[in-house]
Amino acid sequence: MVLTWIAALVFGGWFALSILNQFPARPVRIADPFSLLPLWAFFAPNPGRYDYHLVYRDYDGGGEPLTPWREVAASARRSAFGALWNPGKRASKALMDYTQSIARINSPSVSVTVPYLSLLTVVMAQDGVRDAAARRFVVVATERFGTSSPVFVLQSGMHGR
Amino acid sequence: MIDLASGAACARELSAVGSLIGSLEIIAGRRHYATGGIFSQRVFTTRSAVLADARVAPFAGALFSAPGVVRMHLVKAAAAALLIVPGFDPAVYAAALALTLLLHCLWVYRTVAGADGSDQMLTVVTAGLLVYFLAPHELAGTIGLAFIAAQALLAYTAAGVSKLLSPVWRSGRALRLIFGTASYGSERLLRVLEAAPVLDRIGGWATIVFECTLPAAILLPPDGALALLGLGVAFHAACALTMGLNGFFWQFVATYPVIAAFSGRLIPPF
Repeated sequence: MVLTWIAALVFGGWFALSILNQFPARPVRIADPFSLLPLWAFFAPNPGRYDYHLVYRDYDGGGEPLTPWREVAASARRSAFGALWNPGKRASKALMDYTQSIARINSPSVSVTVPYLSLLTVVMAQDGVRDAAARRFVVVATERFGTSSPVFVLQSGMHGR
Repeated sequence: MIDLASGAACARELSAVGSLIGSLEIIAGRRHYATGGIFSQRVFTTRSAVLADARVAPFAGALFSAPGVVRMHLVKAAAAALLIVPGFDPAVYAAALALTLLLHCLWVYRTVAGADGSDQMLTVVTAGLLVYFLAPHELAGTIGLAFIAAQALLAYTAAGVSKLLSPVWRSGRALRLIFGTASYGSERLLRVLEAAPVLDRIGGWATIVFECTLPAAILLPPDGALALLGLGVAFHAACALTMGLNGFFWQFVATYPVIAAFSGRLIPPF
């Protein structure tokens, strides 16, 4: 009997909050570190149309570029078995999630957030030229399997190497 | 008609297959959790001051490091393997489901980004089944299963209505945009849709109508419900094949036996 009451209260409350979470205005905003409140509007209202590309380049002490832009973590293409086995989807989705978070924050404090630091960590772990003094990353978006012109999405500050 | 016990057993097995594949995929992609990876632990620890606390840091370090994430998913994969096998005592399944729920929530917290709707449905299904297998013959168990069915119906309703309200989806251009991405698309299908835009319009509207209609399965008599849910299986199989949404197939189809078990019960017989 006790379990019944607990189940009714927990699942009833969880479901009620889940309903509220579907409204674009998100009338209830609570911390949800375990992502318990689902957002079920898959690919809507705006269907994802972009692949994101994380590119970087190195600069000398005077701020002149030493390298061309290099890509480090493009959205992964699936293998022929992608319907059964798709391990690349997490990193690909993370790049998309982080890019959209950074673009949404749009303030100087973004550089201390998990999304920004995650992309910076990936970029700083890449090999570079020996005399480089700084590195910067940019995220660009493409459509139609990269055949469209890249669209600039965001740019980092200069980060010393 | 499917009874609640059969529905719960079937849901447990389907969800566990998805959970097993998901854990093995994360183990295969463990380099992303190492230093320099997009899920680097060093960045993750900046998420909360608690993680940097001297009393918590050693424990959190072991749990959330790249090897820790692998250990977490090895255990979750073992629990999933057990949940696939029929014939165990409900208490054994409840223990495996509790472990799955705990480890899955810890991973969601650890990964910060990269999780998707199938992960949220795994949480829902696991929580509902946990309560069912704790008390399979009590009202609490039925409430657990009702929660799974309710969330699934909410998911399809929300997805369908948000597409219906979207000018892009209504215009019949949405599939071309999605299939033009490397992440969720297919070059071959993109060429087909660009050559015959009417197929984009038909496919887009079929998706809207299907998602808005599936919740009716709960009101239909069992045969009608099974037919509608059969369409759902085909829909998710198509999404897995064309978009790589393999996790969605297992977790959303796992809710179908539960929906089928409740179908027709909400309307009194004439």
